[in-house]
Amino acid sequence: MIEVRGLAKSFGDVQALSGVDFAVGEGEIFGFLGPNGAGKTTTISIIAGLLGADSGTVRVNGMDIAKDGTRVRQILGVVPQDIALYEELTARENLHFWGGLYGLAGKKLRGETDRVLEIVGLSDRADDPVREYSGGMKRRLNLSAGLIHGPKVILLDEPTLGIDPQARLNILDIIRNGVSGGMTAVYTTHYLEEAEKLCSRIAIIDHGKILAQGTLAELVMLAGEGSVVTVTGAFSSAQVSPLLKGITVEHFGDGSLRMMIPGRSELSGALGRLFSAGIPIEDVSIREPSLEGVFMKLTGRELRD
Amino acid sequence: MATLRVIFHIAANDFRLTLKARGIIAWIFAMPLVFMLVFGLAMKGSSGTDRKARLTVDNRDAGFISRSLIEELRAEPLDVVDSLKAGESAIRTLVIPEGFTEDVLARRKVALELQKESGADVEASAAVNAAVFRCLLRVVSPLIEMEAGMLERGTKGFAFKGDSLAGSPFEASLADPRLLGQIEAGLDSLRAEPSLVTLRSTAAGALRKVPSGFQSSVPGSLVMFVLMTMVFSGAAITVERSTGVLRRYAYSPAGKGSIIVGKLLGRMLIAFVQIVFLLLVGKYLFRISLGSSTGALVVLMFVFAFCTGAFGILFGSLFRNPEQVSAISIIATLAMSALGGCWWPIELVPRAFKTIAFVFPTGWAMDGIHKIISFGYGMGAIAPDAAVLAGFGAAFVLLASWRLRPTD
Repeated sequence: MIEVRGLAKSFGDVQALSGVDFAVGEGEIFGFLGPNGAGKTTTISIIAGLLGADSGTVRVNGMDIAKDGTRVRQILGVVPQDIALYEELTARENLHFWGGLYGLAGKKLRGETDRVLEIVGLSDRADDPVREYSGGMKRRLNLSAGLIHGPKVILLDEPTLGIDPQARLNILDIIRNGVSGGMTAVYTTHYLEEAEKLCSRIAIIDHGKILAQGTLAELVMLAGEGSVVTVTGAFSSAQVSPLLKGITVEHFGDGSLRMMIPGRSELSGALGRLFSAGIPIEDVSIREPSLEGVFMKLTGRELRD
Repeated sequence: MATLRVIFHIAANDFRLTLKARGIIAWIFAMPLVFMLVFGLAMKGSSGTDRKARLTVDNRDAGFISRSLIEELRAEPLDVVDSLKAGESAIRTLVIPEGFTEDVLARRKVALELQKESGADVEASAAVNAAVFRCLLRVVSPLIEMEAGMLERGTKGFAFKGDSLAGSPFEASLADPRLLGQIEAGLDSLRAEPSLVTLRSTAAGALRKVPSGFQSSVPGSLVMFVLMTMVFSGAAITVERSTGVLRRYAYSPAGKGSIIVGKLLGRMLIAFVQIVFLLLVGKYLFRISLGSSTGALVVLMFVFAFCTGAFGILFGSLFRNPEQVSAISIIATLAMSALGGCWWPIELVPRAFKTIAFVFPTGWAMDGIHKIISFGYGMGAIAPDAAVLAGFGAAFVLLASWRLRPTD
């Protein structure tokens, strides 16, 4: 549905994007994970036809955005980072206006407005001015304004920015349900857990370059990430070290050790050897491989940096 | 067709948003009325009626020639008074000196004095000047005619000696006291005769007099407040830019051209509502004349709405902070209004300021409106004003299009 090839964009001396390639299949939620300034919004802006690329191509549903901008925008919904709404208008008036820009009118516009208000759970507040809404309600309305014309593809640029966890889960559910209805989504975020929970595939972007992309499992494998196992008990390093040959030990001390174990079989083998040898173990904690670890491994820094 | 629908859709939304803006109703409808009233009264508030110029006569002469002169003055379209009530201002005073009749009959040089107060209306004073001259002629001409008769009849004490005239009617009357009564009767009789030649002077269109009172304050307030409304509406574009709303427009299939035309049309609708309201208030509440060419007025107001609407969009495109727009818009609007002739008639300012007025759209708008409503001209006369306003508007639209970027 979306095909991006060799995308590059610079602003003056700043290279915002460089050689960005990815493809998103129909009905897929593709995550764009990266810190602020990584190039996520620039990528979304180019796909939406708002910015021209210095080089590279973007095709949406087979149409080149550079040549067929108006037709592409007709099937594209964009949910911007900003709450881009008229605060003095009601939710219904806002949706009527934004829907009208896509050519919706009359009965169809009214029907679509009711539909999206229902989806985002704002039907009962539809006729209240937006300025009276909470932050989470505004975010939901912001999302619904991108859905009003029933787009085939939706570009979501950090749509949960600045709202509480409950409201965020609510928005993720709306997106998930929308995609189950056949929509394709590109979702940019710098919240790891959102990308993990929502996206079928993820691209990690930093300094305008895609460092890796794939499913969560593929990324973990690509980064060589494993489970981090911490064992505590009344043991000395001399007792346990002969039992952990071939295992990466990150921290070793009397009474505690932390190991990096690449897979399930290696994990059960190592723990089995410790228990068989009668090592007095008091506690074992296992931290599964995560996107955070992958991100750190690929970028050398935490996402919040 | 779809593009037109989108344009009207954007225009209707901007129209609605403007009417929903806090305090806008006061700025569109109430404040202009206050300004019209205050400025109209300050500028004497007398337009629309044909009030006569006042002339106070201070007659220190006891003779019949001054009496005849005063009678002639009373026949003129002047408000001639010979005594003032308490608190009344003389405005203009004609002083007829003592011995005026005797001096005229004695063929001695005599000076009449027309005193004007500093605030006296220039145009009315000119009318009074002309009337005094006319009346003097109507009094002196019969006297000359009678002198000729007296010479012909060989009246004693008054005759040609060689090429010069010796004596005077006054000297002749010393020899024959009945002569004064005969001259007075003859003067009255000659003055009563219809003139053989009449000069009828009519103006092409309405008389070109300096607009004053409400005739000046209504168009001035209209131009100033329409401009102010449009410039304030520019702040809405700045808000749209800062909240990302403008960017959201750009994500839609509506092109940049449709967006700008839609926003312009929305502002023009607001301007037109305001213009129609203020003109009706001017006509029915302040009783001003709107001229006889409704077509010319509609055309001029249309291009003025276009010009100011475009100026509002340009203003909004120049700034990123709505507070900046509010502060600068007040200064810009007041300066353009004052220099453009909205606060006082442009006819009263020095030549340099008259030139400066036409640097701004306000100057052209005021010129065009007064041509229609104050001087009675039509389409042909306002064509240059309308063309210049349209040119200003086109330039503002082009600049705004260049300044407004979807990525802003």
